[in-house]
Amino acid sequence: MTALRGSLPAMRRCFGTGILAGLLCMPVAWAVNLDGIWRNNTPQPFLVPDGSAIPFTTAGQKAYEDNKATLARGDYDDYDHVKSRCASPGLPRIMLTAERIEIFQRPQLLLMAFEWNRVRRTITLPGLPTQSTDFAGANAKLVGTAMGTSEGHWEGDTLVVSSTNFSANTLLDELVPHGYDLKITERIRLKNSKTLEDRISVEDPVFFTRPWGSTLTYQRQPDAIIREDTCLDKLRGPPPLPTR
Amino acid sequence: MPKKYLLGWALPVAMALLVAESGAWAHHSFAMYDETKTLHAQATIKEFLWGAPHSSVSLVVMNDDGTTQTMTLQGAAPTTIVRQGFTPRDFHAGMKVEVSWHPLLDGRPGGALMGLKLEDGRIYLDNTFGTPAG
Amino acid sequence: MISTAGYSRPLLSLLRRAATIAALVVSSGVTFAQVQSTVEAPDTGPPRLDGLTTGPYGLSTGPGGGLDQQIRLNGNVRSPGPLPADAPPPSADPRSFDGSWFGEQYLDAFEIKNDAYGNYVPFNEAGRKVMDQRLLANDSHRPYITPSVVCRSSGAPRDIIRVRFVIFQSKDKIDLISNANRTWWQIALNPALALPAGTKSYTGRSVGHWDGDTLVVETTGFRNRLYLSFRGTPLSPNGKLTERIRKVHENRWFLEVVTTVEDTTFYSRPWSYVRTYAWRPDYAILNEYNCDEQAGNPSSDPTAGFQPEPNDNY
Repeated sequence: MTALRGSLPAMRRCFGTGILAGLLCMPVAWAVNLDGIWRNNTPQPFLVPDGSAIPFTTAGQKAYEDNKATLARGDYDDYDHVKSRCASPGLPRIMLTAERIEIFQRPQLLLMAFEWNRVRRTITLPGLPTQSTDFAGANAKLVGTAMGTSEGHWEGDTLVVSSTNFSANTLLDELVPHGYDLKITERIRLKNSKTLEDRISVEDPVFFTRPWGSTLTYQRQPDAIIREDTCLDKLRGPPPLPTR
Repeated sequence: MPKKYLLGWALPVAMALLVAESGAWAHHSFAMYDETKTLHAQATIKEFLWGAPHSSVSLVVMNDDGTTQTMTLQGAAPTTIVRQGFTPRDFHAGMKVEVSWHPLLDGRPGGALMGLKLEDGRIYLDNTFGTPAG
Repeated sequence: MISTAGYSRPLLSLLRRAATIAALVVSSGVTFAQVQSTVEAPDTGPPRLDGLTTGPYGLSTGPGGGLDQQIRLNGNVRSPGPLPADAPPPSADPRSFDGSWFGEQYLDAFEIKNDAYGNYVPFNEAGRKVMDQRLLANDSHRPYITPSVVCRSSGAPRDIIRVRFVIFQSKDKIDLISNANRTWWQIALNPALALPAGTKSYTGRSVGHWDGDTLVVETTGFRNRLYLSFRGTPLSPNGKLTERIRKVHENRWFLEVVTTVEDTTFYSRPWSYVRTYAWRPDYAILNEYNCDEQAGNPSSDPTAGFQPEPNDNY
């Protein structure tokens, strides 16, 4: 496990759930550390819903069937820019990756760097200093992104992450559609020192009649330099750049 | 050749390019656009992509002879578009717009977006080619 | 006729640069020997290609207007502004670079006109030719395709200019993750983690070690000809970069990076340049950089208006 360094305040463990969440916090050296490299050893291209089938609305079902028909025709660019352009899979689809995920955890911020095409997502945590940005601040609510905007907090051993502000250009997995009003909630924890669990909850009232969930698990990998991955090199071939 | 209209609203914007972070410009050169020429056309939006460091819009444009051609125009960073009160929900495939742009110097379809006029009358002016510095 | 008029330079600028660099060198304890000392006499180098001279800001200008247009349209870049009131300082550990930073140079990083000691960049004939052809392509409004144009990583030297990046550091490796081109610069401090020798990538293969409180990073294995500046100070794929990085407090906290370039393809000797990166804990959130969605669009060509840079242009 990589060691943590840096000047940010020591990690705290907070107790309490529901309205008491975080009421009692104390600095502890043994707080949960998700740092490290992880891989889903049984990846799948589709979110498998916990329990029953995905609860589509009429509009959601139609969009889903349209995507299936387009997939059958091979017209990827009409609905899946990951396949046709190497665009960011966005959240939660990126969590289905078969490649490695490296988590960098600090007391006030967590960043996941993905081996697949070097995409990344940032989860802010309580206490992050004031951020100065033209884009990711108030204006983020106006312009959605593939990964959305993620805010997290600790509830005991579990990192609870709420993500909103999504673009409407992505899919939840290789087929399931969503819109601008998507909200993803994740409960991320260590099941044991070698297993990471991400319980994902999906809400989008335009496409689904109620929230629904799916659970993914990852196995700890050895520390490593992650090999550079460039999806467009595979999709379009080497770029027209001089090699001498 | 795209059909040309004289559109009085598509005037150069007297706004300086103010970016703290090297957004659209340092990403790559914009020298390949003809800053001295502005083309206008009626078009249908195929796709409007919001992204760093710059946005892009793909349009189907009506030519003088009635044929159509697709071209992609590069635009400003999302912050610029948002500051004028537009969000991604304002642009969607199939929208009819009036578009103005600086064409590519090599004559290929494409260019730098200057402005879009929506059917509801709202106008987006791209400040990629702002006023000179100093 | 090839002009050499562009080699005149303001003495004050030279003295100012030399004094600044000398102060940094003395305060860091880095000796001239460690920074691959250069000769102190002006190095006129090979002559410029036709029409290129030195213009405003000490940057190249040419007859085509493209270079001037680039400066005109980039002249109003504003300062990031002061840190917010609640901005914490970086770690007190001089060996911790953890946190978020922002490249301070902008126009200064368009070209590298002088090395760290105020001497001319020691281009050899091939290097001068490649650099000037990159400039002339821009000037003639047919710029070369760069990695950014096709949504590839430019490598860390270029992809941390005037953008925010975050550093995550452990005893075994350092990860620098930049906004630009989704560059992920990984430096192996534990040699066992280093990628196999001979690995080639856009970002290169980097191995680092500590020299006191200075991190020394050696990078080789670039798959393409690199851009060390926006306008194209070149590094051949055979080149090597040695970067000496230390954390400094002088009116503000910043990282000082002294980069030594060793590349016999394009330069007559090793040489060094310096850039600084401000501590910006208010820039911790990286913006999404989803350029593939545009560059990979099968209905459009991201290289429209550009031309490919020849492999054999020297």
